[in-house]
Amino acid sequence: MNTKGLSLNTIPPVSIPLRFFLTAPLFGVLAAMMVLYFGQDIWGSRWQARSLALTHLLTIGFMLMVMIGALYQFIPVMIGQLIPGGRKRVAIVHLFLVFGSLSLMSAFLIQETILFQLALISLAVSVFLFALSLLPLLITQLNDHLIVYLIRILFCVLIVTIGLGLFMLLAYAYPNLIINYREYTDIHASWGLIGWVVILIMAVSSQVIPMFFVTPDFSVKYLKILSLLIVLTLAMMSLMALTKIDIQAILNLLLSIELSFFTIYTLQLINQRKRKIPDITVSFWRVSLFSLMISIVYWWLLVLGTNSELIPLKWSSQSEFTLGLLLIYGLAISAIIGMLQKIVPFLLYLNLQNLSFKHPDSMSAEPKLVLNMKQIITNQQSKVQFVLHISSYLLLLISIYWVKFTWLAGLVVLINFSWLFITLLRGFILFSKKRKAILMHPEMKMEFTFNK
Amino acid sequence: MLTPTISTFMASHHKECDEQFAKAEESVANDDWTQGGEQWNKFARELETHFTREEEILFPEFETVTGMTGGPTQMMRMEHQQMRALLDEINKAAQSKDKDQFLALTETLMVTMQQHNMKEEQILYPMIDQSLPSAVEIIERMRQN
Repeated sequence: MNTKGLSLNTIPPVSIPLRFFLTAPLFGVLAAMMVLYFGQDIWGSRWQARSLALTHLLTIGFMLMVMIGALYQFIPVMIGQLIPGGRKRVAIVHLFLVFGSLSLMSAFLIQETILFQLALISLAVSVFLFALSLLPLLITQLNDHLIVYLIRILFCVLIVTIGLGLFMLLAYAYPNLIINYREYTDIHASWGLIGWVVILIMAVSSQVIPMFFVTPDFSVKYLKILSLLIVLTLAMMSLMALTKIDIQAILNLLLSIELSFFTIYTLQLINQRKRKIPDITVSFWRVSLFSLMISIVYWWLLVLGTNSELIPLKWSSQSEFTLGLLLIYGLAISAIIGMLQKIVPFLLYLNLQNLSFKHPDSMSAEPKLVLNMKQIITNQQSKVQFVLHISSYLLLLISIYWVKFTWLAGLVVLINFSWLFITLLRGFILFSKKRKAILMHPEMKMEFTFNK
Repeated sequence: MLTPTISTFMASHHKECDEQFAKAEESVANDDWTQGGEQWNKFARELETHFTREEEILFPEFETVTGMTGGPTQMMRMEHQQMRALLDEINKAAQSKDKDQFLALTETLMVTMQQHNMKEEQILYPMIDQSLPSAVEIIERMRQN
């Protein structure tokens, strides 16, 4: 293990992860506004530019954004070193990601080549810079813990997903290159929706569920094998799609067994939790995992229905939207919103606590200057968030089939993400006030000598 | 039988503390202050034992062998202080039977404890295992503490 310069002082400045957490909900708000603007026309076909815009607002603007922020916060805790690159690089990663997501959305909507070019460049710069910061840690880190393993797998999956995405974007941005990209869209989508989303959820849950809810630990062996199997199955599926060899049925079966195993295993660990106090984040996790379960069942009904007369479900635009919603809004976004209810208050609390140690006189102030987590986001706020999230999720699903509900769905999605933004912002404002108050007290010099 | 390592010994004590913590929290959530109070005191004693084992036995051994007196162990000591500060506040909430305050603070302590444990289990203990040859003897001394 590389211990040079190791101090275990692993809290990045608040502004580094928080900028990602605060921007992400705004992309959710934008997505909601799109639903409101297009109304029922949003559910046309997944090939339509507006559906692509909507999907990428949620996957890049919200999911990728939060994921990068969370990695900045948690990688240091896991491996004892901050992600290198400093504030300047974080600012570039963030700004280009924001700009890239906005240009991609407008590119899809306006269909201007220049916007596709801007999106291509900004997203490539952002992702490349972030990968560049993370890569040395992933390669040199000899620490063989489960999470390091899963992050490595996640990293590979993201390279395929984003790599294919950027490749297709190249085709949009430079039409005279005449790149045939259509055959890659499904591969891109399945690596994104199954590879990225599921392995991300796996990585996060393997750390967070045992810690926060005091459940038995995940079996390291299971998760290592499972994540590898999922990636291999996806790789075989992609090869098959490109070479037209037909073993689809076997691979479908394999993948759904892998995913079901993970879902049932995790739900069962949650049920064995020793920490039984009411906690809304348990509900967010359950919604997330049930969504995965439902999407597997639904997918099989589609596969079987297409081949038989007995099951009324067939592949259609509606069924594709349903699967997309189950995986993006249900599986990924539910877990992410749930986790934000804990990680943001913790980040802010920890920074206040550390600051107060450097300004010891501040500790005797009344009322307390160090806020606890529940003062930063209250139970009540999290409960409202859950109700909003679950209602917006159900309304979205309903509106695919009864399009007159689309407007209402869009409205509740808008409230859901606005509420998220407001609670996070309110937490940050409270934090800033207390921070200012602590800084009014004299600083005590603390000197650590680092053996390098 | 496998030779015990510092990692496994300390990590399993973390687990014990977590479970004790969960019991106390659950009783208080169910308004059972009598049982909750006892369970809480038991947890607080367990946690203090854990800190003392590290601060008085494990860390000094590690510091002597490696010469690393600043860095990681110093940071862990500081985090112990932070958790002690939280413990004090929770004790006050327990005395005044302020359930909301108690649970808000235990949530905060829980997450603080978990990320502290993670750093120890993922990074510090494996380092200690690598640098201290006499794990069995040190574990024995900690057990008696």
